[in-house]
Amino acid sequence: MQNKVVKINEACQTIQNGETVAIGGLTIHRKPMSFIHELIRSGKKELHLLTLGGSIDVDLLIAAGSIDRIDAAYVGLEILGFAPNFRKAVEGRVIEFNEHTEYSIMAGLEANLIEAEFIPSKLLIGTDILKSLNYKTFRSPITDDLLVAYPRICPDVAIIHVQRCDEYGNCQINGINAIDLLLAKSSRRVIVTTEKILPTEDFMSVPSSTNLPSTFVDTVVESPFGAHPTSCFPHYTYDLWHLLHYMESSKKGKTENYIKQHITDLDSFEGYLNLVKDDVKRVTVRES
Amino acid sequence: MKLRKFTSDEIMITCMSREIRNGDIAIQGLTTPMAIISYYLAKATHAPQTTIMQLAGNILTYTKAPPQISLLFNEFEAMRRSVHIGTQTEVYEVIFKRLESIVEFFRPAQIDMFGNTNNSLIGSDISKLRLPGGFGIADVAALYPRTFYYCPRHEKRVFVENVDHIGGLGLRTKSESHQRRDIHIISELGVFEIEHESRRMRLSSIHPGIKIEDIKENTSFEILTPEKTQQTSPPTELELQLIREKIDPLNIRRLEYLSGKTRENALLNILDKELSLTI
Repeated sequence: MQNKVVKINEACQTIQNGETVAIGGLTIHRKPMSFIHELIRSGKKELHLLTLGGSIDVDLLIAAGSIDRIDAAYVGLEILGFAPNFRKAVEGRVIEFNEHTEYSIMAGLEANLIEAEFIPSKLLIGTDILKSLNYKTFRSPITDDLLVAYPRICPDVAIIHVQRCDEYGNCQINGINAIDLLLAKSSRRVIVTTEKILPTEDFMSVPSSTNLPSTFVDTVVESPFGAHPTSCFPHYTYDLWHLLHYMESSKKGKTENYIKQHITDLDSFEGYLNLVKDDVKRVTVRES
Repeated sequence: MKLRKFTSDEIMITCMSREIRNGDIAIQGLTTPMAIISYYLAKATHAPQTTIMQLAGNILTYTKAPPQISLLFNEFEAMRRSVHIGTQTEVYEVIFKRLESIVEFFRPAQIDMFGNTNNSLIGSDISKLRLPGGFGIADVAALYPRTFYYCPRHEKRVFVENVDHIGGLGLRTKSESHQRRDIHIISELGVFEIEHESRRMRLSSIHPGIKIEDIKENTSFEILTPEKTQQTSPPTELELQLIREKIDPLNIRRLEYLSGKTRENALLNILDKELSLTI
């Protein structure tokens, strides 16, 4: 096992314009926000984004002009409503949106994992979602039933925020898991951002809690509060106030100001945390 | 008998809860407070053996007494009661294995007379309104022997003749196996199902105080009605008490009816209350 710890800007430099970037977490839960900020700060372009359910992560990257295609089963801010820049960009055809379902993403990643061209399934036959995805159907060589060929999805790099890991990338993901393990297994490279880096001995006492092992991880970045304003159980819950503020400024067409003030005018995510320290404090849960 | 007043969210939650059979597995998707309240209500009343999977099904929870739902600490509350944390892949494995027992309440942006639903986009090819997306609805709607939809707003723009984009598959399909499914719809006005023979939406029961005309005026297509209309049984004292005092005293359920500034203010109000309770 080798030490994989680098600084966030070093990890970000490994991402090339035009690559397919898979984002972990789900909607407003455990999104790698510090890395999203870094992608924007470093001016990445033409990225293809893949995520099961996106929210402010996707919306910010769209507003910053960092991506030209997004594959997701959902992009919205849960109980708060629409993701404003996502909606505008898709309606105005500024970016390409492939609307998936949970299964179409999971099947595509599974196919990649076992190095198959596709995975066959009957799911989604008859729906317009399948038509829009433009997936091919064929007759089963065994039963002659109609099947969908779910083609492999091959992310170049997965970005996953975790609660804790060691310097080798042995990770304990807590709370909602979504498809992060599948993303890590099926992506070419895996960058983990983590609330804390802990000694490996801490993981040896509870090995069954290591649900993302170092064997799938390439890079580790320490990033406390790195998921804010999304949640990171048990440290902090999602910051619905901040998300509302973000939506409010975006509705007025001022996302550019938000990005300037919270990301590009600052040197680092620490600067952002300092700027919104009252917000962060409000959603931080005291450890008992 | 004393007639106690109830709101449309309360009768809807009661109807949703009554669809759950003892021993069912109830899954909560995204942003559906009314669904999770109905699961807890069923567990606290007629279906104590209900298994509940929260946060897109990832977190398998266990509870004896009905817990209070939270807006701000939804994940934290679920984790407090968790016995197992799964992955999304595992959620689908449970679904495939236990199809007969799964209950999942979906909220469609549009539903048509055949039971097709849409959470993708509204409008024609030229001008489209992009919605967040249906997440897993289209995957599983056609698989479940019983598919459940709830519509807090029974309006013409929700109950449409034909959905603009088919996500959840209704009964107007060539596949024989798809036609044997039961599709139940619970709205603020009544309970409906898709009739197997005609494959059309039919009124099952009408909520107290609602007239057939109210349904007709707010639906874009003709809903089949039985000769003698049945009335929905109102919530019992116990059901109302559980919803109001135990499960949702902060009235989070009401957010599903509100929009715009009213909704934002209600939301901030709930958040402030939750914060003052925890600190």
